[in-house]
Parts: sequence; C-alpha cells; structure tokens
Amino acid sequence: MQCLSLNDRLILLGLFVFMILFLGFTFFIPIFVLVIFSAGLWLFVMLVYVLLLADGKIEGHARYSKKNPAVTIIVPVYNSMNTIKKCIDSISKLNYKGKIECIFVDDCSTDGTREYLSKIKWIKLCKLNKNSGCKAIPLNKGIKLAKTDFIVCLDSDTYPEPEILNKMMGYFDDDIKVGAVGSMILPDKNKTIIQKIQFFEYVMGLGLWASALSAIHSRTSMPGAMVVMRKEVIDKIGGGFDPGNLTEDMEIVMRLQRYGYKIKTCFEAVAYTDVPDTVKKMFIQRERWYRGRIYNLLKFKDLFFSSKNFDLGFFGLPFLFFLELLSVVLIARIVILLITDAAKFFVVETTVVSVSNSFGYFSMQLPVVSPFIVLAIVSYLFMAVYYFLALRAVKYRLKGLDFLVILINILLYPYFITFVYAESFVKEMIGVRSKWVRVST
Amino acid sequence: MGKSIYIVGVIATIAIILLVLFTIKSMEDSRYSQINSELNQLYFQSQLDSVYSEFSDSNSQLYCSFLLENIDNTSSRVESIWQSLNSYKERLLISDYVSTKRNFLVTNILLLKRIEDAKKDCNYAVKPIVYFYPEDFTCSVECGVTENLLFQIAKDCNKTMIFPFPLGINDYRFTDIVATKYGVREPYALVINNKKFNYPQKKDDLLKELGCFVSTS
Repeated sequence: MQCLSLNDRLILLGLFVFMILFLGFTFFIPIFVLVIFSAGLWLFVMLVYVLLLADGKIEGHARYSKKNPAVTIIVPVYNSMNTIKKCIDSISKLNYKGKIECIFVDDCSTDGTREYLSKIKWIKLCKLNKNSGCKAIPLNKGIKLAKTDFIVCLDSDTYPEPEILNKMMGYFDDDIKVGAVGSMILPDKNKTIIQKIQFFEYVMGLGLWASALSAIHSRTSMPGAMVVMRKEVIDKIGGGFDPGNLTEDMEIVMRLQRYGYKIKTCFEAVAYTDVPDTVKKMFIQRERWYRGRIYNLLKFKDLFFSSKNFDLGFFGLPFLFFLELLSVVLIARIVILLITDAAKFFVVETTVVSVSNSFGYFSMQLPVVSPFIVLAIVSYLFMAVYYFLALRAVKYRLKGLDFLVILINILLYPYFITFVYAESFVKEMIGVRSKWVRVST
Repeated sequence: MGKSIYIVGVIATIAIILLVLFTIKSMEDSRYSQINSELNQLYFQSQLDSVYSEFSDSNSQLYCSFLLENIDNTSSRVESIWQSLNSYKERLLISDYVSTKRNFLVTNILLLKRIEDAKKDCNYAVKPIVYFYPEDFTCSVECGVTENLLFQIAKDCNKTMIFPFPLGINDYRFTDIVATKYGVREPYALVINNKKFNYPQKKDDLLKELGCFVSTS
C-alpha cells in the first residue's frame, strides 16, 4: 500500500513543526485576533461559493444525454454477500436509455459471493486468482475488459437510483474534455444519529460544495462509490487506478485534472451507499480518506501554485489544504485551553471552593458585546444559508431530530474529524503502514 | 475561472469583517463611555476628599462624615466598574482600554488610601481585601474563581471591600507601590488584615479572617 517517500515525509515534518510553532504562537496573541483570522478565511471560502452560485457557474442538475452511449458498469467485489443482492437489484432497475454491460470483478471472495454471482446470467463475472487487497486492481481489470466508451465504477455496497445514468451522461455530450462525472452519494440508511451525521456530511460535502469545486476545476476528491468516466481518457492519463493508493478515486481525479480534463458533479443523480454504523468504523474510514488525501496532495504537489490551472493551483489545493492545517491548530488550541481550564477548575474546585462558589466564574466570563459572538453569528448565518441551499438541492426536508444532528455536525463533529485528520497526518509523516479496510456492513 | 471571483471574494470578506468590527466598536464605545464618565466622577470625588483633608482637621466631625459618606458611595461603584472592565479585557477594539484601566486603578489606590486614613482617623470599620493578580492567561481559572468568591464575600460580609490590582504588567507598573506596601512580590496574592494568602482560599476561612461568620452551607 501507499508509502510516502522520505522527501515527502520531510515536507510533512516541516509542516508539522510549523503547526506546532503556530500553535505556540497562538498562546501569545489575543483569542480575538485568531477568531477574526479564522472567521475571515471561512467567510472567504463561503463567499467564493456564493459568488459562483450567483454567477450561475455552479452546475449539478440532471443533464439528459441526446446520444445515450453504451456504458459498462464495473463492480469490484470482495466478500460482499450482505450487500451484493441489493446492488444487483438496483443495477437491474436502471432504466438507462443506452446499452448497459455489467462486469463484476471478484477479488477472491470467501463468503459465497463468487458462487452467488456465477449464477446470474446477465452479468459478466471476472474472477481474480489472488486477493489484491485493494479496489484499484479489480477496477483496472474491469476497465480492461470493458468494450464501451464509458465506464461506471460502482461499489458493491452502493445502490444507484434508476434514473442515475440518464441524469449524468448528458455532461459528456458536448465537451470532450469532461473526463469524469461524479454523483451525489447519500447513506442508504438514515435513521441513527451516526447515519444522520454522515447524511449531512455527505449532503454538505458532495452536493453543492463539490459542484462549486467542479465549477472551478478544483476537485481534490470524488467519491468512487459511483462515478462515470470516459474510457479513452484513462489511457491518456497514464492508465487506470493506482493500486498502491488508499484513495484511488482521489488519485485519478487529481491525475485527470493534471492532464487538463474536467470533473463534473451531478448532485441530482443519487446513489445510496452503506455507511459505517459505529464511531470506530467511521474513524477507520475517515482515517483512510485523510491518509489518502495527504498522500495524494503530496503526490501531486507540482500542481500547487501551478499557473496551468489557476483555480486548482492557487485556491483548490493550497488554500483548502492550508485551511485544513489551520483547523487542526485552532481546534488543538481550543482543546488545550478547555483541558487546562477544566483541570485547573477541578483542582481549585476540589481543593478550595465549593461548587456553588465556582459556577459564578463561568457566568462572569459571558462577554458584554463579544466580537467573537458577532463573528460567530455572521459565520453561522452563512453556514445556515449553505445548509438550506445544499438540502434544497437534494430535495430533503428537515425533520425533528435533524436539527440536533446539524448542531452536532456544526459544533462537535469538527473536533472528531480534526482529530482523525491530525492522527492521519502523523501516521503518514512517520510512515505507519496502511491497508485498505472495508468498514461497511 | 478568472481571478476576479477571488478578488471580489477577498474584498467582500474584508468588507464584511470591517462592517462587523465597526458595528461592535460602535456598540462597545457607547457602553465604554459610560465607564469613563463614571470614572471621571470618582476621580472628582477623590479630588474633593483631598480638598477636605487639606482644609480640615483629620479627625474632625465634618471631615469624617464627609469621608465616610464618600467612601460608601465610591466603593459600590468601583466594584461594578471592575466587573465591566474585566469583560472588556481582551477587546482590541477598545483603543483606550489601558488608559481607562489606569484611571480605574489610580482611583482604586486613592480609595484604599482614604479607607486606611478613615480607619485610623475616623474609626471606620471597613475591612479591605487587597487582591493582586497576574493579568494573563496563566490565571484564568484561579483568578476567575477568586474574583467570584470575593464578590460573594463582599455581599455577605458587611463593610468588606475588594481592591484588585494587576501585578507585573508594564502598563500598570504603579501598582507595584501598593504591592510593596503589603510585602507582595508575585501575583497571585490576597491580603486581609496584613495577612497574605498565595492560593485561593475557602470562603469560610476568608469570612473567618474578616470576622464575618456567615454560614455558606
């Protein structure tokens, strides 16, 4: 699996040292300055998004193809008995107007998946002799076998809606530079708090936001659970998916953009996927995403500040990467402050004063007219508008518990995700071995 | 996509932040000017005290009654100003915070001096608690808890007054003179009846030291 070169790890070490120094520096500047700085960056990103929206640059609606070209759906499978029936069922219900070929590439399943698939006559089953331990090798095998101009990469735990291909294929019609079109991925189940957290995470990250990044050709990732690609482009960019990559979907997106191909997002085309149902599984999945992300950002570091693609080179990559690093520092700062204050409070509380005396401390800290609160309100207003637009795009109506989950997503989830990011960063920096782990049911 | 969208984005971001800052500044300025006008009144009263002490006998009936009345008026307002100033501590938008705090501290020193005089000359039965604290992040919790405790004690225990002084801060170096008088070298410290405490104390212990026996249970 992926392993950074010594040079790249030294770059991460340099960034790590910079982050530690910056964290130390934050203790000597007023918290107010930090708040303005981070709120300013956040506002800037939101404003770029709003400007793109106002300019009509953000696409994402269904585009029906006039040509309806034939497509090959490639499904890599490994021990997928829990999900494969539903996946096949959803494929069979696709009412795409063009011809569909379906290749399942079995990566040496041992749970009966291979036997189950071999009984289905209308699919082509390709059996690998040795388990590859990744998704890229089965995908590449499927791509080689495909005879159509377009391939659809579909995960075995993902269930596309019947109209999905009709909605997506139109993006390829008029522009030969469109290399791939991503869909809107949503959790298949949306009942528990953990599923709902991921639902809103997906809606916010893969819907309008992804479309905005597509509009400025700055996609740094695209979920590979359901994506359509132009087959000839894959050869032109140096071949299929990278087997040694934890996030092979992100890698190919970056490669497509390096070669000047466009990535489009159709948020009206929805595929439902199994998502982790425990915090531990969520952690494992996101750790893979972030390790892959960090790895790929370094792999494509030549694109940073590249004038060939101004938006990607000067905004998509450096600015968003910087924001991620800044978030780690700021959240570390807040956590350190909270822990030290809580520890001191506990010591003072248990050794000196009674609870009733100490509670007043917190009420005394409430500011009169806090710039922090005003800036937070402005930022959260922008966020509320964004939530509104993103949910409207997927035609979702909020229900009772949703408000609580949105609050968790805004106020608590960033701490979790930043912790995973920081942990992934350190693991890549020190070169901890990685492997592709399946976390869905 | 051209660069224009980013330029517009940067300009709009700066504009929004400036607008927010301007709004906050206007709101804070109006509240802050109230503190300043109160401080001016307090300063005038302390000047008036000086006039009385210069032109009358230090233990005369006239001087004592004037001084005691003045101290009572001043002390209640000083506490509320201190609380307000605390809430503005980290506001960079308040440009004259340091000068206002200086005025406040000088007023406080003068009030402490008047109380010491009043205790000596007019048998004034007030008990000052002199509190030295480091005005930085190292004392966020202990100081917060202590400040709250002191306010409660001031409420519970009649004739108790609190005199908070930041120590070791360049802008308020003149508070060293008070610290030296009470033999304090480092913050954090509480001084009651010339006795020093270097760590937050239990409320009951402080009340005992002050001669107030109010049960806190």
